[in-house]
Amino acid sequence: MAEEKSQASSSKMLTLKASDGVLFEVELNIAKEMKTVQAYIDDCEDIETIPIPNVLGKHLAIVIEYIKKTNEEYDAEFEKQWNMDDLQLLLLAANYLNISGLQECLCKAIAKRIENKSPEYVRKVFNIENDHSPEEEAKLRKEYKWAFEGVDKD
Amino acid sequence: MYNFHFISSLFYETLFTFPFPSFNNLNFNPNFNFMGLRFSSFLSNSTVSSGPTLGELPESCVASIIAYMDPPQICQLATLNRAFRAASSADFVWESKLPPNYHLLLAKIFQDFPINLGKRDIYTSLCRLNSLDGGTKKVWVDKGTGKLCLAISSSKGLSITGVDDRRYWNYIITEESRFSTVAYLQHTWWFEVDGEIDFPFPAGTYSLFFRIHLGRAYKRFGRRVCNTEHVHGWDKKPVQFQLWTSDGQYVASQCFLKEPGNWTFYHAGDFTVEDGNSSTKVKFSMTQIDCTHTKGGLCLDSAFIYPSEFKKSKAFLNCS
Repeated sequence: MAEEKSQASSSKMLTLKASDGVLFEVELNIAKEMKTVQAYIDDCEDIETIPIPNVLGKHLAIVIEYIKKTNEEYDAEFEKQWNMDDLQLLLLAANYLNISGLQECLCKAIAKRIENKSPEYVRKVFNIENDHSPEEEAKLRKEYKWAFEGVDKD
Repeated sequence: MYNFHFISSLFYETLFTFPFPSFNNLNFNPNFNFMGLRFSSFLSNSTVSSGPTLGELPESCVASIIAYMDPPQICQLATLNRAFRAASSADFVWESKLPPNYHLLLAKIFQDFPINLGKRDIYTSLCRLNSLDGGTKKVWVDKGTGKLCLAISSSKGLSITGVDDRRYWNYIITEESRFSTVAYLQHTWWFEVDGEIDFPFPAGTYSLFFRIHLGRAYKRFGRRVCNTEHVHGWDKKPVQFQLWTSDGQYVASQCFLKEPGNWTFYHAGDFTVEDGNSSTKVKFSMTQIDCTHTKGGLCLDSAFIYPSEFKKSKAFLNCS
């Protein structure tokens, strides 16, 4: 979808309210790209303001801009602007709002940033706490031993 | 399945004020976020990290991210936490790594393959050095790329002219092969090695190589020693390679055998498989037939079939 999705003739406007109270007025067809919002509309037809309690205004703004502009070129440049924390929060937002295109774009972007990096690096960068017990960890390493041994030298 | 509840970002309703974001300027100042996190973690006394964590993502999101990794890294990331471990064994992650015709491969390689094994376990099984045709061939999927590889042993896998005549050929035990023996040629006028394979290769382009060693290697006091005294005749005429497929592909080439003392992969030719849903038959041969001079001092390990892209990506294939 290369053009902006607005159509002056049939654009009903909807208000989305972010978790920090920031309000966004968007066209219905933009809001419908968020399947969570679509479900809300389906349930209560006359709604004018939809609360989005899990997403900050700054991220909702980015999501809305993405929906308006998404195309191959935009997507390729899109992910470069954001730091790790924003990428993760955006992915959480896209997941909550159920926008599959944005989710895919963000998953790819995060994957690219952790490609070929060690588990220690990934753990540090993403603040992942290890909730495995030492026994579980030992069992895991044994289970996945095959992935590391006998790498094709010749 | 380990389900994560979505953790509300309401903890971001901070105790401090921040500049109202401008919706037209999406080049967001990262310092805002960084300072915001620092400030909030200073104020909160909890030991939970104040930043968003990949560990908070639903398992399906984690699986979608790691699906882009290569298998060894997926396995490494499984050790991070329970969500990653669960995501790393998700069927859809491994389905994309398996060769598309893996059902055919399983049927060809294994007699009784359990039908309800998860995709990761199927991948693991295919990555082993699986024996085929009574141990004369080995087939495996390359762990990192998910591509199929095959080796055909010189011991009963390949057809060597005069191999039963101990004046010319004998088998020596070695540790330097995927098979336990390699064929050693003392001397002959008629050097001919033929082979064929009928296998459901996944669609793609493949290269056939002969792994050859000029000279005879053995261990002395634990160190590898190579005797090249008896290497002769290979500089007189090049060796000819030919390759045929059942769907009419044919390629021929030639080259001189060199580099005594090292195992070398000699590239015999390429073939393309269009459809992985049927079996592909390939015949190939290597000859140096010249009755004016003998040649010998050569070890023949096996014929290898590798995906053609390995010629660039695998260092050991770069010489031929």
